[in-house]
Amino acid sequence: MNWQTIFNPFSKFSEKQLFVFGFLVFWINSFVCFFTKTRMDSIFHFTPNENLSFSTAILLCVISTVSAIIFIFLMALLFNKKTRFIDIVNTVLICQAPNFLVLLYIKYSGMDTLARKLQTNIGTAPSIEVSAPSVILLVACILLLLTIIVYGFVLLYNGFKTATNLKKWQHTVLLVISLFTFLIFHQVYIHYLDL
Amino acid sequence: MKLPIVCPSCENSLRVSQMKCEQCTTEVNGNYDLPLYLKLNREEQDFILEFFLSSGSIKEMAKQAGNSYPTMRNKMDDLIEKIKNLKF
Repeated sequence: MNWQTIFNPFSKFSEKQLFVFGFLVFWINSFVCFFTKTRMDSIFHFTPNENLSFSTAILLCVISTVSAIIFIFLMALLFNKKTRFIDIVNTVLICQAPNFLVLLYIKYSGMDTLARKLQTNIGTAPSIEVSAPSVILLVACILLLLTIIVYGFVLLYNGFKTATNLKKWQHTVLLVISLFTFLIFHQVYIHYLDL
Repeated sequence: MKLPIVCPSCENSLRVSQMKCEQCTTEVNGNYDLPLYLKLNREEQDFILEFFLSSGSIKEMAKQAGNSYPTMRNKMDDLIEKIKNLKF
């Protein structure tokens, strides 16, 4: 295993291997969303929802993933007409791999409980006693989570780059701006679906 | 022995100035351009040869090299671009 396997598996593994792994990741994410009661608003974005049913959890994951695939594929065609659909499908599926770790970590590390406690104390003086070591631990945990989230974006970028042979920096800037605009739009749009 | 294609001193492209028949030792002098294939570096020449030997299948080449299909196709696209630039 080298850096290429970790950061750009798209340059090494065949589309079949990547798809099988990506499909597995999709189902793991869907199950973890249900068990942690978290709805997937878009790729890389999750919101807590205590009343989330199993079918809704899966449906939200399907909608978010499929819409991301369509959008990113259209972007890819804009940069390189030879881009294959399967490469974009694999990119979107695999870049979601770190998500279930983030969800499980937030749920079972106590961060979720801490966030709820802080939310209930909004407007009043904080009643939670916070010691220095626990703050350091919390900051370390947040940094670790950010690293995992950034890793997901790195996977998305490398997958897109490999699929489209992206070279120009202008294309990279356009991709980043369009992707973030799309993600925000999707989070708003999926809210109005009322699932 | 590896055929040098760039000048070791100034790194400009080399040209053919002399050829010799091994049989009768006839020598031809002139100022000839290198064929397009020889203007490519060794790695690119090997890539083209591999492509030919795998009957033009990028998929097969990718499998043999242990790379993915898009990685190999990107290499091919870059090479096509380079050859186009060398040609015109």
